[in-house]
Amino acid sequence: MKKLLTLFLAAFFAVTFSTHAFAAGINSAEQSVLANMRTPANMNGTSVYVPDSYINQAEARFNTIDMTEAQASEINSNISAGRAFIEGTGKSSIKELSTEEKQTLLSYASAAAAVLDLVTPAGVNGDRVKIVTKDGTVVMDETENVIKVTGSADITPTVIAVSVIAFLLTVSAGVLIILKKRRICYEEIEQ
Amino acid sequence: MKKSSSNTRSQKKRKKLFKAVKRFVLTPVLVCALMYAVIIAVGYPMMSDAVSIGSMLFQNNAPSFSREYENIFTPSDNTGDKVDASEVVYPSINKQFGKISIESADIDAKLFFGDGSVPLRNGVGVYAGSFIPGYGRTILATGHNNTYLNGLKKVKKGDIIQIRTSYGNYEYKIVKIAVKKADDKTAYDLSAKKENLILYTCYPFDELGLTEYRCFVYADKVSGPEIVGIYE
Amino acid sequence: MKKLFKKISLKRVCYALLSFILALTIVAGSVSMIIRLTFLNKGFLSDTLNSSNYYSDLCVEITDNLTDLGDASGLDRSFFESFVDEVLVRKNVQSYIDNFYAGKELVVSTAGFEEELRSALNKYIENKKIKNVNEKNIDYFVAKACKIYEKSVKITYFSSIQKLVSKLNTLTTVIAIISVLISAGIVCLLLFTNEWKHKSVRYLYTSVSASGLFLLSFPLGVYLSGTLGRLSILSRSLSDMYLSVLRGALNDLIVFSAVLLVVGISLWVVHNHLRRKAAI
Repeated sequence: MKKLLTLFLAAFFAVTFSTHAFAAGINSAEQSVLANMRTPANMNGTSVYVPDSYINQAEARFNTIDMTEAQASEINSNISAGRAFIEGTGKSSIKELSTEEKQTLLSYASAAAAVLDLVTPAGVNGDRVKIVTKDGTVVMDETENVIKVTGSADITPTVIAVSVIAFLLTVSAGVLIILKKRRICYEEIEQ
Repeated sequence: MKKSSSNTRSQKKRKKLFKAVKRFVLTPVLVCALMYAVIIAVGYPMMSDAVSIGSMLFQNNAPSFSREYENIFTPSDNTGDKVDASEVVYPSINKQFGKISIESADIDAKLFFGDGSVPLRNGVGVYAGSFIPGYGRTILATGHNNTYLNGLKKVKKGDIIQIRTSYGNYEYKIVKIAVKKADDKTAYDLSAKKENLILYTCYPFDELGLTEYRCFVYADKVSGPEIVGIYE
Repeated sequence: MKKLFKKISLKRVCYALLSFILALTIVAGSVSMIIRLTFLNKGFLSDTLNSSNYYSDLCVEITDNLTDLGDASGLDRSFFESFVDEVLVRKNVQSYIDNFYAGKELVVSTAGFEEELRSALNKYIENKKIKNVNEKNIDYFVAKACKIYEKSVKITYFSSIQKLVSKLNTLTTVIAIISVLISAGIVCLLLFTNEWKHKSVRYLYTSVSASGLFLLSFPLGVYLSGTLGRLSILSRSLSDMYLSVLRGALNDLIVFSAVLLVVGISLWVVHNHLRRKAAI
């Protein structure tokens, strides 16, 4: 087992701005996204999978929303584009991607997330990756490890979190924009 | 004759006023608008990515710093075989959706979805990458060993774990207890298609400091309604 | 006649263009100055942190996080209740900010914190008469607590933007100097190439007031839209810090714009005076 995946892919699961309490259920649109998430990326002959824990979190989230076909189609096209991109880099794992490549990968996530009104808040304690909806509902609150500290030592991280922000002070416009290079966490599994 | 000359004078005055307003107010405003237009036109190609990522940093409302949690648990008397997905409100992270108890071990705690600091401060948390009772998949739950799951040291094979939720009551029979390293990925299977409960806490119990081992308690479902109609 | 008309319009276009460029350079220069006075100014950040609730909120958050760790380590919840020393936190944060602006490595010394923690732990073990203490587990706990402390003292995103600060320092200096030079050149051109001084002053008025409006519209837009309050930051202390810094910068923009608008109005008065004089 090696490391794979990414918040990039995981981010797609966290959808919509609705806070209504929906009944559990996975509609066909959501099923198509889950199926797409299960499709491995072929990185230089190595199949790179989204870990079950992320797919399960996607499924949990889908149980609390009602995704439309249009949303699913957009998410799927971003997942596919992201997958095609990492396959085209010629690298064997996401870990090997350069910062620029990770940023490109991130752009697919942010494009989808922007449509879906997702927010990756700052000020999250430690190495947690947190995603909330624009209404503040926590959609994902993940640490590096599946097994938590309930009295335990550090574990070698299986997920790499990358968090970068940049202040883009556009001098001429006087516009201050905070650019956050979001955490990308990934784990890869070699088959 | 007098009237027409006064009309002309007032017209002239109005024209003068308009000219003054135009020069004093409109021209600077127009120049200001033009500056925005030029800056946006020139800067947009460079800033579009930043703007799209930047927009992800804002919520619709002010963020909450509260460590409070929402409780969606209302006791149910459903111990039947099935419950329709349409009757189940799937919990979101940090919400209390049930209670967990092990009579033989004096464990009785609130059950939360998610296993971050809010759930673990207040009870037992179900990892969001696993599932809720009745879903037919793995339920991976945890709690601190010096608080809510301290009693786990007393459990033995065959003991019953009870979980109560708003949509049904469940029982799981402990089939195995094992101590494993925290990073041992064989300790759990999140892709299992059979309903099983894994409860874990740090090990050894009552130890001061952080340890690298966990006590895993594995249990199989004995009773409780299966959620049907999940995949529409 | 046509030729004359063409000549006049071309001249007007040139003046309008110069006036527009002047407005842009005033804005660029002002923004550069504000960036230098705020984001690139160590004193501004330190003062902002001192006047906001940053330190008290940070201490509460460190205590909360350490209490969570204590829950996982068999410690009573009361252990960390009054453990975090705000004086030490202030000292470490200030040293972190100093390093940030000096372009030095952003390290946080946890030696003082570790010493206090070990001493408190020893007292706790003694008071509770705990036997069989595993030193390895204690070391893990202390290391983890130090990590929490270190991460809390480090200001989120600062490590990512540290390189940007030195680049911005140079960039804003260059922009400020170039803006001043271009502005001075344009002002001279407007004043000395136009035979009608009141018209020159009117062009200057347009540039100055347009740049004043521009600088005013941005902070007003941000304040009125309530965007700042919706910044997704889940840490109260970090939110305090970023919001105070951003508000400080926006307020400076408002002050700059107010100055420009006052200058603009003065120019308008001068323009009217000169125009009347020219009419006589």
